[in-house]
Amino acid sequence: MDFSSTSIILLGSTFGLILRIFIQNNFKKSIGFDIQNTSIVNFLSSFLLGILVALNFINNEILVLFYSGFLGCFSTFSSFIYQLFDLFQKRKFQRLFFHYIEVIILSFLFFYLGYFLFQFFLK
Amino acid sequence: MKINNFIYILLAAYLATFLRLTINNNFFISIIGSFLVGFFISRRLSYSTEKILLTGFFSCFTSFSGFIYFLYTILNQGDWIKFIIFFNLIIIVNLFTMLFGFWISRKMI
Repeated sequence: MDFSSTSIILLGSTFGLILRIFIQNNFKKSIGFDIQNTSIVNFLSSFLLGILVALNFINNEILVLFYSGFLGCFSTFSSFIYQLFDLFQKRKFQRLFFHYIEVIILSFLFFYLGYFLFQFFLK
Repeated sequence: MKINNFIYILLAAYLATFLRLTINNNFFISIIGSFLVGFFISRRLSYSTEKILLTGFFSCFTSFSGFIYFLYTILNQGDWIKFIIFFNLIIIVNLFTMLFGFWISRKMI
């Protein structure tokens, strides 16, 4: 790994981290049904991932670096599992089930939203 | 947030990013991450240590977008049953790994 790709990864992860901490600290209201701020981060990151997939990022080296640096630090899988774990500890199984379904459906919805929006604008 | 804490979080995030890129296997990373998160949250940590570990290290170590991308590659092959099995399996395995880590950490005290 040479110097420039390392610096792009570090820059991307810095921005991802700052943005994630900002969103996690500042969006504490729930919109209608209960969306926590960790889920907002994950939905946004799947939206951006959809755009990257529409750009065919595997063939482009800079976009791969952007993906592994920025999106890897911006999205968080462990906090999502921690939310499920927290609901499991409090014995709220119904909430756990709905949260599980809601996160997976909404993140795929956002993923395809990004994908098709970008493909629409590309043509 | 103090600037000192923020620098620690940033360094932890850099370390986690390089560990993630060297291991380069999304499934193993999520398993290791969930186990260690379960291990650490049962201990009583101070607020800043918890911030450094949870929002700094482990959130950068595990990545949700890699998980979604993995599911997308399966879905792109047109295999719906495999997709449903994989996403249920990954989340359930991770949840139980976290419970296992929590339990082991309780036993060790």
